[in-house]
Amino acid sequence: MLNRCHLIKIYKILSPVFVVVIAWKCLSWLLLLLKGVIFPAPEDVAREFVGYLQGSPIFGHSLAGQTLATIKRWLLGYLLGTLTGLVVGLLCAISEWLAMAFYPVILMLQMVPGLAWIPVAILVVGIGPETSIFMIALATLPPVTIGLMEGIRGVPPEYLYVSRMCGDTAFRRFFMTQLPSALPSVMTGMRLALANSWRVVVAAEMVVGTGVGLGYVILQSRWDMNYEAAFVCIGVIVFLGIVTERWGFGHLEKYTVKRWGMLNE
Amino acid sequence: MNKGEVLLEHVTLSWMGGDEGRLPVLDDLALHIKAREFVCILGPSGCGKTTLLHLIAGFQRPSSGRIVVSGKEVLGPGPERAMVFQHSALFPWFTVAGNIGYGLRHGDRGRIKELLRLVGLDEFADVHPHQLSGGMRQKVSLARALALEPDVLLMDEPFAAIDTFNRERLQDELLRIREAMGCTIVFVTHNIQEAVYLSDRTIVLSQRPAKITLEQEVDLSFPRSRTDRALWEISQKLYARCGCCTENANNDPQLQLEKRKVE
Repeated sequence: MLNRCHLIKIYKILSPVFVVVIAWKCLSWLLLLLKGVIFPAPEDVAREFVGYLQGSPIFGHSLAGQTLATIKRWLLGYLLGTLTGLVVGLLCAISEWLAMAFYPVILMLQMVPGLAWIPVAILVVGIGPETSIFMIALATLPPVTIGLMEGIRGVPPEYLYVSRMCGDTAFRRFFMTQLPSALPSVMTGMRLALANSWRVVVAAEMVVGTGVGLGYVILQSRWDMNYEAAFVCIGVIVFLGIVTERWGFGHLEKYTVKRWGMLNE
Repeated sequence: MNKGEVLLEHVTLSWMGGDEGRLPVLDDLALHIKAREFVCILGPSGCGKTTLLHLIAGFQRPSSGRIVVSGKEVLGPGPERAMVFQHSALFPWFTVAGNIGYGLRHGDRGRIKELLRLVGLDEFADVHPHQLSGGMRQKVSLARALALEPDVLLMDEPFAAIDTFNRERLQDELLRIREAMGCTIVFVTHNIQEAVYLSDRTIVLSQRPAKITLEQEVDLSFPRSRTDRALWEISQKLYARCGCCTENANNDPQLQLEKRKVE
C-alpha cells in the first residue's frame, strides 16, 4: 500500500521532471510557431535516447562509451585536483609562512575561469586527453584548498585549549582536533570543486579536440544538426552531476559530519 | 608548596591594540588558594573572570606578575590544570568515551568506565555529544577534565546555561565528586547563590580592570542545605557588596541621562 509518505516522495522526484518536460515542450512549440525553428521536443530526445541505449552509436562510440570517457577523465582530474588541493592546504595550515606565500596564489587561481586555462593547458601538456585532465585539476584545486584553510582557521579556540591542556603534540593536535573540526568546510570545498570540475570537463572536451566524450558529442552534433544527441548528452551530464553531488556526498556526510551533529539538517 | 596550591603574585594583564592602546583587564591581582580548597570567583560579566582562569590554565600569559601552581610557575597549559568550559567544548567527532579518554594515553578503557560511572553516564559511552542534553554534556566535560587527574580543576561558568533544577543537581554531583577526587577547584560564576552553596571561599571581582573587592569565607560544613539560614545571610552580604553594579549604574552617564529623561 502506498501511504502519504510514499506519495510525497514520489511527488518530490517526479514533479521537477514534469516541470522540465512541460516547459521544454512549450518552448519547442513556441519556437516552431514564432520562428519556424525545429527544436527537438522531449519525445524526440527520449526516442533518440532509447535508440542509443539499444546500441546505436553516436559519433563513433556508444553512449556508454562516450559517457565512460568523460567520467574517467573527470574522475582523474578531480582526484588529482583534490589531492593536490589537500596537500597545498595542509602545508599552508602547518606553516604560517607557507600560507602567506601560497594562499593568495590559490585565491587568484580561484578567480580564473576554467576555460581560460585552455591556452595554458595546451602549452603545458599539449593537445590530448591530458589537457582536459589538467584543466579539471586546476578547477578543482582552489576550492578544496580554500575549504581546508578556512576550516582550520575557523577551529573554535576552545578545541585548541582542550588539546593543549591534554598535552597533545602538534602532530596529534592537527589530526585529532584541527582536521576533524575543519571537515565540514573541507566537504563544502569539495562540493564546490565538484560543480567546477563538471563545468570544465564538458567545456574542455568541446574545445580541446579529444575525439570522444560527452562534450565532444555536444559540439559535433552542431555540425551534424543532430540536436537530439546534444540533448541526450546534456541529460546524462545533469544526471551524473546530481548523482555524484547528492548521492556521493550525501553518503559521505551521513557517516561523518551529520552523524556527529556538525551540520544542521 | 603543596600539590594543588595556587598562588597569584601581582598578576596584571592588558590587551594591546585598539584606539585606546592598552586596555587593562586585570590589575595587580594577588591571590592564594590552598590545596583542596573550593574557591568561587564572582563578578560582573566582562570583568575578566574567564581571563583569570585562562591565565591559571596557561592558555594566556600575564603581562606582568607570576602564577605558581603546585610549586611550579605556569608557563603554558598542562594536564595538572584541567578546565571545564562554559559550552563544554566536547569534540563532536568522538563518542562520549572518546572525549573522556582524549587526554588519556593509550585510551585506558577501564579508567574511562570508572569516570563514566563517576558522572553517572555509564550507558552513554558510545553516544555522540550532540545527542546529549546540556547538563549531560557538562558532565562529560567534567569527566574529561578529571581523566587528566589534575591538581587544580578550573571551571568556567559550567552550569550557567542549564535550567535551575538540573543546575542544582549538577552542583550536588560536583560536591560529591569533589569529595571523591580531592583536587583544588576554582569555579567562576555570576550566580551568588551558586558561589555560596559550593565554595569554601568566594572572591568578588570588580568591573574591569578587575581587582579583588571582597573575599568571603563560607565556613559551613558539607553537605549544606540551600535553605540554611547561615548560607542565606552570607548570600545577602554578598548581594549587598555586589551592589557595585548599582553603584556603577549611578555613575553611568548613559543611565543618568535616561533617568533625567524619565523625570
